[in-house]
Amino acid sequence: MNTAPLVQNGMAADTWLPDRHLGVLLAGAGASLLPHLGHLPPVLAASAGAMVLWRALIQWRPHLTPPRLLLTMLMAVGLAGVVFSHQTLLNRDAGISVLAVFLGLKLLETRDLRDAQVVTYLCFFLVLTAFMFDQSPLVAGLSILALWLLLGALIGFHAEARAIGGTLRDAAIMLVQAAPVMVILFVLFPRVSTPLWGLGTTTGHGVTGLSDTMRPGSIGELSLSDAIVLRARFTGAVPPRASLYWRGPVMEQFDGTAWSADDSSLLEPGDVRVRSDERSFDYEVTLEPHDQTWMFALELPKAAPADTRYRPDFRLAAREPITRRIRYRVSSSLHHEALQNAPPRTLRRLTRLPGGSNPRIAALARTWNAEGISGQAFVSRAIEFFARQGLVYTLAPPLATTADTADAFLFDSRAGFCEHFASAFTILMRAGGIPARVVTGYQGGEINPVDNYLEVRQDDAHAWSEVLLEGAWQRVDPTAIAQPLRIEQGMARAVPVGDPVPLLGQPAFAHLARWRHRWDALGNGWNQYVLGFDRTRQGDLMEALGLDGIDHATRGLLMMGSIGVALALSVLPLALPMLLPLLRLRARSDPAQRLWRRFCARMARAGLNRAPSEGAEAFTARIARTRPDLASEVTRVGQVYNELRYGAAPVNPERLRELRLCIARVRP
Amino acid sequence: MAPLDSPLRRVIEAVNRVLLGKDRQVRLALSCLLAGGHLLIEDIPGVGKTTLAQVLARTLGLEYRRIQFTSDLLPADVVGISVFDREAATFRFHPGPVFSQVLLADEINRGTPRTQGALLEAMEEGQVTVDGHSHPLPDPFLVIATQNPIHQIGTFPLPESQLDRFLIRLTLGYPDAAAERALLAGEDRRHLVAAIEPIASGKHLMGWRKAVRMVHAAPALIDYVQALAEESRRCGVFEAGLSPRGTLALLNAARSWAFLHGSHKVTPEHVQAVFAGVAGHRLRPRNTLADDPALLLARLVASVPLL
Repeated sequence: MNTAPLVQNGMAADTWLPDRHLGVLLAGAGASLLPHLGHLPPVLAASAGAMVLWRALIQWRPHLTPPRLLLTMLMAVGLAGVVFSHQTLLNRDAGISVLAVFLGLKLLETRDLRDAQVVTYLCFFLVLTAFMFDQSPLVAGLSILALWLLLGALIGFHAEARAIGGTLRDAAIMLVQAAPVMVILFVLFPRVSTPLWGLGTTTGHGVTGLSDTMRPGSIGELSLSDAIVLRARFTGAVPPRASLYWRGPVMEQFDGTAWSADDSSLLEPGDVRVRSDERSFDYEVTLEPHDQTWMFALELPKAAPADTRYRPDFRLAAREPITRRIRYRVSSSLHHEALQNAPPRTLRRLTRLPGGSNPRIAALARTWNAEGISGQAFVSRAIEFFARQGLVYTLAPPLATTADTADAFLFDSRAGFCEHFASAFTILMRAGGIPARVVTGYQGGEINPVDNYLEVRQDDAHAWSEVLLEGAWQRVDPTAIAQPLRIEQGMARAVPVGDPVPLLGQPAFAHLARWRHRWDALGNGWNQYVLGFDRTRQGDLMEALGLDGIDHATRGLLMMGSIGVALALSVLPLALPMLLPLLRLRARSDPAQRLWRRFCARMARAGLNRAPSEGAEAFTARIARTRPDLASEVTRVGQVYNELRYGAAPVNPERLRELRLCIARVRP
Repeated sequence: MAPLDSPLRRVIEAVNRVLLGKDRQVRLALSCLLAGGHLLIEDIPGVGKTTLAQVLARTLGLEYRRIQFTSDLLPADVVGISVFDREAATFRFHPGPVFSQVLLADEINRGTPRTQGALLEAMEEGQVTVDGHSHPLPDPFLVIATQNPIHQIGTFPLPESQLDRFLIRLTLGYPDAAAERALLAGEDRRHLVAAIEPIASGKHLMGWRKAVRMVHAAPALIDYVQALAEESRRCGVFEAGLSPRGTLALLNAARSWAFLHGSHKVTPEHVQAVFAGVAGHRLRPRNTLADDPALLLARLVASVPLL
């Protein structure tokens, strides 16, 4: 017999790179670079983008292909650019810049399938790294877009004749099929209590927000930003807007122009207590990172959340600067008594003013003191004075010409922002011998009608005064006295027409504001349920599902099992068309074929695999060559089987028995 | 397996004695002739194309003529010409070399398309028409054409539609070292060819052809042939898939091959053995430069599972 089959195992490497699929790859590469635009040095981002475009151009005009020497030079320039921008090559940010630049370079020299695959994997990695910087829904969306395009390109490279529409549709189907697995992993994968390396820190990104000093204009600047500071969800009723004082840094030190938080008064606070009423408001705050330790709560919290200090100036402080979005539950009482029995040194500190500053305010206080007014009466007199002075609340106060800014505000310009009001009032109090300090924080907030979270933004930043009368601190908000609208309706309605206010705060943009509500609610949902799906939330969910109390091994099995089910379900529609003919075939296959299959399976267990297209006699001849000990038996099997299957004589039981016997005699 | 008819075995042995180390090609060529098809041998000069054709014709005891195709060969030089007979005052037909049992058309791609066309028409129809008169060709009538690979200067490659007229195309290739040594050390091939005695005859050939048609092709085997044809159409590697004529040729060649190997039934191994010879000149790779056509054919066979 001379019937060696034509089967050859060696395959020629396919190196053909079709235009259209390269186009998809380029789009995918662009999409994987997009999420990095926010943090890549602009020069590097621009050059990576330019190289992607260049590669697209080469497809049209092949003579633009850069020679190897130029590529080498570009690589050197790129590395130099990275070193120049980051001052190093060896940290996370520099590493990702290198990735981005090399992606462009690799694209420039991409000619065949192998290069294109390398580029695809590089892009996949780049997509992953985007999450080290930003985990917003936008980046997630861009990443899915990039994954989709890259998958489409990969499919295209292996089916070069197919149209883009088909490959992209297949890629979309694959993504959809992967979704259940993703959800299962997301829900069940054990969470660690600390974030993964490099994830989620914002250090060095220049967060805007309150600082621990307050000078004229510092809060006014904040009020032009509508960035979210915190979100609060109340379990019961939401307090009226006018009582929403979110207490932040407390400032007791005044140097003539600026107030600053000076912790030295906390060294001897004396006896500090809070006496609160029965009625309390319970809420959960989600605080955006601001690189400081203070945590905002409504005045005044009844107790500090876990891992938080309740300081003698009645504000909450974290142990470490807050560099990640955090969540905490607080219970506040709006009607309370903040009691402090301060020792004399602390009281002296609370009435200290730099000598000679703001002489007109000092003179006013002296006049009142001379009239015998002090204590509560002095405070009432001052409030009356502020109300009658005709002060204008504005975001654009005239620039002070003297160092005595409080004097200038109260007697000359009579126009200012909340920090002017609070500062002037506190100075007046101290000049009259009453212990007083400035409290900064946020006032107000707005309920997002979409998800019912109360959103507090930077433009809600506020400053007010606090006076210590008869051992109890009393809040006085001079802004509210002069311009009650600020407290009742928010900053945008309180300032005169024509003043700069945030765009979306303007009533004319109400429809835009509605869209912003939706966008913010989406962002909040993402924060709460995707990014904020931490150990606690996972535990809650497990409990709700009745899965709490299972050990890690069971949980792992559960995870693997559900992934298996999800995979099986997603593959089923694909597999059915392939399985059905097999099932039908099984039903149709004759007894000889079944015996033959059994024989092949037994041979396969002995390491002798039949190629799918290998005929019976060719297969048995091959076995006979490699295993001469089996030669005569297997050759007979091949002959008898071929006779039964392809011979002219009808299949009869005798021949079948012969085949069975032959097969039984073969013992590999 | 039945023992091979002895004259046929002796034919194979005789041819193998002259053409050393080419048993596979000899059997393929014989299968082609037994299936009643024409044979195309394609290779570089000097590997024994002509020798194979001569030896086959002589051992089979067939009447044999040879035409060397050149660019100035005319159709009349192949099929014959009507000449006016002055004595009988009529035109008399002088048959050309085509009127023979085996015609060796040497270097067919050196002839002009017109001349090629005349021969291929005769092959297709089994007769020659000159001046309105049809002259039937003898039976058996077999054409063994040889051709140099097409990228040689001054040739007219056969169009695909005409390639289809050949049942099998084969290449001989270089002999292996042992065969070449025997060739160098042995007698002059020309003497060997001249010394060959006919072993069989036209009658034998007709008998064998009948027997080939009796070789059994089971439904399972026809399924397999169909699956191969289907895959050649579906896979997208070739410009066009196997035509029904090509599928029929595949089955017939496989029958011959089975008969040559003393089998009364066709098995998939037989089909695989002749597949490259039958399909090679009928399937044109879409991407002619990138891939080795032989490899593509092997891949096609490997991708059709045998159940």
